[in-house]
Amino acid sequence: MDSRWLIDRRTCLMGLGACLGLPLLESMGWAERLSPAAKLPVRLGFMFMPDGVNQKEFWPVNPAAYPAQLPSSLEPLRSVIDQVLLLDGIDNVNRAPFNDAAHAIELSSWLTASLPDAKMRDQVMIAQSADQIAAEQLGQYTPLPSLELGTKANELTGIGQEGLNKRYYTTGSFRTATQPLPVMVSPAEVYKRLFSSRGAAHRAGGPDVDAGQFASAPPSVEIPKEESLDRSMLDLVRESANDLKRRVSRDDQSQIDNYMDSVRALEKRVAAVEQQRASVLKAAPPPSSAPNTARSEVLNVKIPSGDIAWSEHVKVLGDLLVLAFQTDSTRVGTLITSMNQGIRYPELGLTDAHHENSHHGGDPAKLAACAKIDKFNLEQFAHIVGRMKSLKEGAGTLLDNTIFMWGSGLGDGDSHTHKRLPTIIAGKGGGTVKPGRYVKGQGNQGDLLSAILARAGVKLAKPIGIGTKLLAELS
Amino acid sequence: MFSRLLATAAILALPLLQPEDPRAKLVSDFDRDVKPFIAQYCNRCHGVLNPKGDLNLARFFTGQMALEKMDVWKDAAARVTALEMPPKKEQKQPSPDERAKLAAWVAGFKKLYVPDPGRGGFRRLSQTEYANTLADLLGVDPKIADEVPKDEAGPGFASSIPPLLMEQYLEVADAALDDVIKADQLKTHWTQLPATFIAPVEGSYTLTLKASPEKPPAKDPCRVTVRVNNDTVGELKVPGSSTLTFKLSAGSATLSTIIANPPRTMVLESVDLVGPPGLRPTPTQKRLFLAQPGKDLTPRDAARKILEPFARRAFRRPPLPQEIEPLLKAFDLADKKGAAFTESVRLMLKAVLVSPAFLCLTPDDAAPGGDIVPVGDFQLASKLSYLFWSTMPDDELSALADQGKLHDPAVLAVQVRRLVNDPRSRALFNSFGAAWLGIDHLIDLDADEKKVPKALRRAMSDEAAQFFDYVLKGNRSILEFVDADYAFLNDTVGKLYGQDIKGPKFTRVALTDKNRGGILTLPAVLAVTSLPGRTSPVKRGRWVLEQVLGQSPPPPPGNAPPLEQQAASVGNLRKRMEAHRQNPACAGCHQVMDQIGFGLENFDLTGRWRDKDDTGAAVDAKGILPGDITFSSPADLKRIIAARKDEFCRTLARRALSHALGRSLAGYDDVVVDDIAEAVARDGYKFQTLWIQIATSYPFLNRRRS
Repeated sequence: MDSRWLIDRRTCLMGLGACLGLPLLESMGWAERLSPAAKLPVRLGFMFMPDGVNQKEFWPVNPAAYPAQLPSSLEPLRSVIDQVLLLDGIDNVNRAPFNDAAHAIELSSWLTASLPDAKMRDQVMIAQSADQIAAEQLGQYTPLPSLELGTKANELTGIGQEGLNKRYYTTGSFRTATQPLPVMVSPAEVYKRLFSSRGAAHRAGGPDVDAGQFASAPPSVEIPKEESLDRSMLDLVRESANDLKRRVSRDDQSQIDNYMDSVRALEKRVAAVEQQRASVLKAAPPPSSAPNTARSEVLNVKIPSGDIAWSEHVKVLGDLLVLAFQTDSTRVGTLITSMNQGIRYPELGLTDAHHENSHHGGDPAKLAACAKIDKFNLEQFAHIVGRMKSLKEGAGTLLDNTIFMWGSGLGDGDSHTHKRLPTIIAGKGGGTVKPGRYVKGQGNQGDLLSAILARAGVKLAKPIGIGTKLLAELS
Repeated sequence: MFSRLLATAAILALPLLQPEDPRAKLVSDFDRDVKPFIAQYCNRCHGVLNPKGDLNLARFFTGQMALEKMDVWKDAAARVTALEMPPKKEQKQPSPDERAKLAAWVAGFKKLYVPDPGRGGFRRLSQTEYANTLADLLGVDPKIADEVPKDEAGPGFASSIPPLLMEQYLEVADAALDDVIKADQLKTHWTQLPATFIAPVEGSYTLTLKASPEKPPAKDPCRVTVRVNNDTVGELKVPGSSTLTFKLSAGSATLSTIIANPPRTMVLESVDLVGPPGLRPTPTQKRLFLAQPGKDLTPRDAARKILEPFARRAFRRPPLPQEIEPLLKAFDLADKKGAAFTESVRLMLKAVLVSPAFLCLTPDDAAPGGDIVPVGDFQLASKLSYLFWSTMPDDELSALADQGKLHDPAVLAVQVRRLVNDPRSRALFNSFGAAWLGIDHLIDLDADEKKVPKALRRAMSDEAAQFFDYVLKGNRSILEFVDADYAFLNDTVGKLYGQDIKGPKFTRVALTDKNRGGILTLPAVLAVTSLPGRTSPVKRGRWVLEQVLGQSPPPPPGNAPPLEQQAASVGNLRKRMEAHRQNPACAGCHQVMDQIGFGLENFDLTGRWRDKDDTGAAVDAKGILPGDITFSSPADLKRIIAARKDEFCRTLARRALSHALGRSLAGYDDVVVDDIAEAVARDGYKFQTLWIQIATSYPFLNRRRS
């Protein structure tokens, strides 16, 4: 990847995204420089559903007839079937000694391909997750290293099955082995975090935002004098934490390291916001002349207010992730569509929760409910994939430069098996992934995650979790 | 075989050398009290071949081997003591004496441990604690921290601070300081212009300009146009008029000057902007701004005078010199850029509010000693106030910590009583009570909004809080938790009890119906132990075993067939469950769980009484518990559970201690729990005694340094 190019682009694009829209890009000549041959950054997305799938309605019976004949649960993917890779045969880490905590392990091991430390079960001690390994490297080029989204807040205190910390039930992303990341739930908060200044979240009024209007009329761009001092102030505070570190137990020292690391991340974030504002001040956008052919208009996301149905919530979070990718506000994102034994899907007219239905025991009614749920989840996935496909970027689409993985942490919810995880990968990863196929992967979840990261240009010191190699079947 | 004999001989020889060694005694007692018991009563099912429930007890040849799997034996002994095992259908049953010997052997485990306070001592504040602490410290509304995701302290609390949270801390600090400093009069002092400031409120402001006229003096004065945000607000003359009063609206503004009659000029010395008049400082401001720079006080010294007492309160301990210095440097940062004194102080206070010593509970300065040291007085004051109030220590606790008196057990007991009797101890229900009862996420329960509306859930939760608080503040017996002849009702919850109560205010109502009262039949509990569409005797039974009796039935084996599959789905739930229990893989646990759960089937998923279940069949609340104890109504069941006083007392003691320490309990805590439970039982099971015992316990008063 041409690093000079990256820096240029970063300087222009530093998080301004929809706040500025395209005119600025044009005025700075960036868009013109982007030739169809230019290599664009690869974005990584991960979308999770708990409880496994109804396997009979998910996996093709006759591989030769794929994709002409699709299993019923995959039907929503038909319009993008040439853009997705259906990946069979991927097992995750064996759950022992946490056999009785299947739903804690299914999410926490999904992106780590690792198990919690059995000696300190009431704390969080697992492994840096794949998305966070990617964020650590790719995140240097974007205002936000990564974006964690979910339909339900995941800060939970307590001890669950097998004596495990309850965060294991609710967390997919681990920034370090000891740092579970919270998900952002409110679309309005996500939007504001992406495109307006920090502090706006609680100072601005209601949650109704129309991103399109927002883009055409950026808010106040003044820089309060003090804010530019925040970075130096944080630096002082971080330095002084070193002293505290000497006074706590070794166990707690890692917490102080986490704290210092988060302050450093915040310093970077403050710098990014400052730079964003500075570039807004400097460059008064000239009237846009020629339409930009290299790239679509910035996606217009309508942020709903009030209570919304689950599917609408997933769609808008998905759109925001797409928008973040499109504007290069981040290159790594996760979307936890439900967790902790799943939800009830009143939209489908079901009365029992996903978890109750997933323990189907062969009962046809419950299996049918599961298939309905799986299909409904894939409708949301297909919506997001369709969005990415609709956005032009360089010679292709945003989807061409993305690897967007959908999956569940169990193969089948009834037996709690960690084998044959349902896995669908959308996008071409900048030409490194060959979609439109149904293949059996010769490797495990760790191999898969390692391969995905490698294809996005992430350098790995060793394969992720139980992985031993890079899964070859992606291309 | 020979070598094993030798090994055994060597172990048996140990007691001669060290007659007190508890491990050697357990090893030899195993051969005498346990091995024969297993051979006689357990081997048939839990032997080497096809052991039921995957439990093979015959593999433990020696006490040494058995002691490597203490959890297995604790569980086995608990089941034998509870008369669950051997199953009733077995002809051969151990005598009470034999059962007691097994229990005594397992009880001996706790002597194997050396006292250990375990991990803990450093953790971030929960959202609740953070919000309350900000409120106490700065007099702001705790809602100011609402954007930080809600969580509560306790075992399983994730203490690390991710970047998103750090970002939110900085935003909340800004908002809180805006709140505190905004209401102030604006008092700024600049030596150069233009300058940006924030007018706290709309009103009139007075500008004073100090400048020396140009030399040599010109015949007409220099006319200075004063502008706010590019609007002219008036004109001054140098020499001549030097003050100007004008109206400003609230918000950020830029002040600048232009010389109206060049080439006239002047040399600016300073500009002061003050206003609006008549505003009095708030109590928080008075407590905060203890000094202003003046003739005898440099701005930095004034800042230090403000900082030291503030950091003492914010850190909940005296700040160390090496902590003060970086904070003063934050003041310097702004000061050097020519910011007004208030603004520089603001940046310094913001640095305090994002410091780890504010955001986290930190140990006092390193005390001399080994790996385990007593917690310092300041840390102890914090542990107490955060445990009972979820906020920082008040002046009385802080003063006692300053005087070094908190480690005196008598002082500690008085303080615990004071803390729990304060209205702020309502926080203990939110952090501990709700989690113990499993109703902490009742409001988010994935239930049908029509059947269990949010307003009803809130009322259910409030009812539980009232009950908990009543037992706590009244220092009543914890046994009332299991069986009370009263409840706290309002109009909403009253309906579930079939009582007509007026208004939303809760009142204590004497109950005549013995089926009601206590946590087993609390609507909040009955709601969370139901499924979205129906009641769940299994969940309810399991809840009673876990939260009340302290047993933890293992989750079903992965291949356990669910209800519908085994027998044709005919009959009501009870009939189907009975079929389920025919399966030996399920019988072990479900025997007890379901029996208890069915004893509560008279309550629907909101806790309303019903005579007919979901299928329309009459509810049959009869059941039989191990030891041939029968019951036929919720009232009977409650009475039976309530009689198991010591199991309940131990369970509550375990849960409360684990909460207070913020970690799961380990083997070395067993002896602590025993001591606490015994002391509570001796004192008539009083709830406050439980908390005093916890606050004076070894792990609460000590910490590990490595």
